[in-house]
Amino acid sequence: MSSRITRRAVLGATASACVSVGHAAPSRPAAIVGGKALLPGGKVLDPARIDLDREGRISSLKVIPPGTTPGPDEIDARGKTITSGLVEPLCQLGLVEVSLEVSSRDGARRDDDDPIRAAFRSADGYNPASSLIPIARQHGITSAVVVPREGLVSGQSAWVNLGAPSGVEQASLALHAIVDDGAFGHYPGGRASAWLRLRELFVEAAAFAENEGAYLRGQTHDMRTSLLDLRTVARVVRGELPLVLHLDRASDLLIALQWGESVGLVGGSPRARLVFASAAEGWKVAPALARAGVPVLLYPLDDGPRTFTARGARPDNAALLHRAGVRIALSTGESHHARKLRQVAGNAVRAGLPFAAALDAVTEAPARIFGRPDHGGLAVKRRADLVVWSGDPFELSSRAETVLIGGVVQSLRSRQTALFERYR
Amino acid sequence: HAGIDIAPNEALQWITRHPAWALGIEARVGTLEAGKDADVVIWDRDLFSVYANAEKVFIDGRLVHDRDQPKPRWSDFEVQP
Repeated sequence: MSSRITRRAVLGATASACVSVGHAAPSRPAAIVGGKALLPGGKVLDPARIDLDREGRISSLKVIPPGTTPGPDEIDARGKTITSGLVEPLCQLGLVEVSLEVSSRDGARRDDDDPIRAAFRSADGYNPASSLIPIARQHGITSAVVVPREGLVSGQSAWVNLGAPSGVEQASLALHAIVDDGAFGHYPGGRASAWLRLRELFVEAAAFAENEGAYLRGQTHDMRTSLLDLRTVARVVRGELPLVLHLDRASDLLIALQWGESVGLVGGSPRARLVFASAAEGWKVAPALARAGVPVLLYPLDDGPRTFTARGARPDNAALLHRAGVRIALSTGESHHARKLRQVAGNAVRAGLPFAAALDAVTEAPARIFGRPDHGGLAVKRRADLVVWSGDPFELSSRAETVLIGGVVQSLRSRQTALFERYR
Repeated sequence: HAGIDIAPNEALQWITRHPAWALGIEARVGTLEAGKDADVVIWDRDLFSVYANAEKVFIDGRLVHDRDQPKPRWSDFEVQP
């Protein structure tokens, strides 16, 4: 833990030279002073003071008298808007560099046709030096969930931070299964086959979980699923690893709820063990989703009938689900364009989602859904992943002026800015 | 953001008048001028805001999108109630 902070402090000192905010900003500020701090639940502190401790955490959050001047070791955020860093919950940042160059893509298992690759981990292919990471960071994204694609069960996602240096913070975050959705594709065998295979997978995993010893001694029936995949899915069965199902159609959502309940992934535990991604027709079954307490990760710009599966897609899906009491998070589903997360959130607001709910959907919600206690919206004791914006974070006319990760000011230079400087 | 100042009105021309000129149809479309095709959008606020909604869209003078009427009569896609 301490060596990571030391490394960050060294890089932070180098990075601070690149930050241009009035006078030179301290690389490890003691506080952010002034400005409007947007907390979870629509709470606003204005003007705000955010104190940071030596471990890079928020130690206090309070309102201060107007006209307070920041000190030398403090970031001047007067007239600005402060939020916690944004979280992109469904992307392949760090897994894909050049989409058409196979050797630069590590987002899916390529050596085996078996649609079940539960043991595949995106963390193993993650490249912290990807040129896409500084670009996302420049637009206020400080954490991401990096998800494998393809297959029916594509593998395990990882939670990463987008600091310099970037790192995997949880190598096994959730297991992902792609039934049929707009961003991640569909199971070539068709949806009925997908459900058949998933049911079979979980029956085998439950039998395995009950008696792994018997399996290893060859005393169980022949299982179709490989050993490592069984071990992974057994963790889901035991509630140790959440399952994210990628699906759009209302009928699939209802089957998923029913099936999820039958294998014990719905209800009971306060931590989400079943999550839906995309859910373009979620609005059609919103009350059922709310009753089941299954959180949903949405793509607000998937707002029309682009596929047969998502015929009912509409721009106000997020608004309708939120109104029905469903826990939502927002995503771009992109890697090169993950930076557009704030624009995507703005569009959700345009289509009827309240601003505070949209901000929570890109900060607090993804952290709570994936069980990350140190992350989320602005709150005391959380890691100081913060952004000082020039204005409304969702307006394209605003920009992230200062980004902190773990309390360290980050460089906002990227390959794009470097090319711009050269050819200006 | 990159430090180049562009007035909103100039940016607007990049997505209206300039592409019309590039396509050689500036005589018919691209600006709001008498004699040109009635391709008009009424926005509920500054169109550069992420929150801006197109209230009404006219193409050749015909109302093809009306925010108050979500099911357009020129499409059978949502013919059912």
